[in-house]
Amino acid sequence: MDSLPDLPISNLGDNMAIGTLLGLAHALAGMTYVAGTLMQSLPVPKREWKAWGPVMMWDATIAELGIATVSIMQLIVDIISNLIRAELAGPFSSPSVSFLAITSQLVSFDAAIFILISIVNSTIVLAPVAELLVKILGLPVQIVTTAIIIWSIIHIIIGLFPNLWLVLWETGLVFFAIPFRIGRKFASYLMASAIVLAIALPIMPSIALWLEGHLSYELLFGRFQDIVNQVQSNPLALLQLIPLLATSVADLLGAMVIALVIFPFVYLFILSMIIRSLANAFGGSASGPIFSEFVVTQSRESVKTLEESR
Amino acid sequence: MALSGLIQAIALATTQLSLLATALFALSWVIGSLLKGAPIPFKEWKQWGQGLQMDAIKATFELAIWSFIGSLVAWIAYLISLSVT
Repeated sequence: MDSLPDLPISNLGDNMAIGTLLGLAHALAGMTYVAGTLMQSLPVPKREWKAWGPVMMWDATIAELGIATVSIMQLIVDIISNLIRAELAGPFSSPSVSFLAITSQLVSFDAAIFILISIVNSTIVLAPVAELLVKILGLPVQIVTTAIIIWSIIHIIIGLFPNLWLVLWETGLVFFAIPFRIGRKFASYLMASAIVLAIALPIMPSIALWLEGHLSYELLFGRFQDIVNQVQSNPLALLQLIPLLATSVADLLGAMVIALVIFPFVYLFILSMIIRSLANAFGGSASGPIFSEFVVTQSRESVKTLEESR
Repeated sequence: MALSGLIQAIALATTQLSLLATALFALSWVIGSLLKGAPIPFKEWKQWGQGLQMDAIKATFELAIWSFIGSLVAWIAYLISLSVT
């Protein structure tokens, strides 16, 4: 698995879709602008209606700027992604290689457990022990399988994103250009999601591996593999190795659950907070926790007091 | 393609909207002139008339410069892309 899978959509079709979306955004921006001038010149004594005029004209101008700077945005995202990959330089800087490493780890753990159970099961004397072993190792097998499913989903999404994020960004621009700010909140969400996920998703497997390294996963897996090898050569040795096996599996499982099961959810939660913050910066009023709430800054009260004292 | 049809429909709606807007500028201007020149002792009405005229002029000017804004934005984006690359 040297490269990510290609999308079923051809590049030409993709570019056409992006071009069509740009055209739609441009048409909507034009309509918003004209509607803005119309609202401004309404011969009615309603200030709030007329106030929409400058707002809509400004929104249309911003949407036009967004349409014109699509290629720059693409370039910036590429530059940031490359910078981060360079920072993570090493054997796992590519998402495909990292994913391959993660999958092989999970599969080898699963395989080791199956080998262990089958060896013990094939030894008639150890049949009752095999039953106990299945009970002990049933949960790890479930967790490992869950982790494999989670990482397969992540891999599919990462494979889609290099082509998908620009379409999401363009769709965001289309919603942004709708008159009367109807799609502004959704637009800011889409645009923020496109940028953040395009940059942060491909580095997720590399960070998971880095975390695994810090949790001494390789060392723990080596210990577990050593026990499996010992049982393979002498199944009766299992009776003495059961306490060691339980500790080893527990340690290994702890590291695996943290790095490969909990970590993806925590990472996605952090990304969602960054997306919300960015969506707010784009003009959408997002609800829920935002990144700035978790950063140590002056409280609003203290800023207010300072402003009042001036 | 369905989206192309939508783009054409929006472009057509924009053209009709701009025609309506032009007509509305004229209407606002006329109402503004009428109120401003009316022999009535209500200063607020006359002020509102003047405001209508100002809004009509501003909106006409802004409608006229839309294509200029588009070109200006494209030019700025081009300059930025030159500096980035």
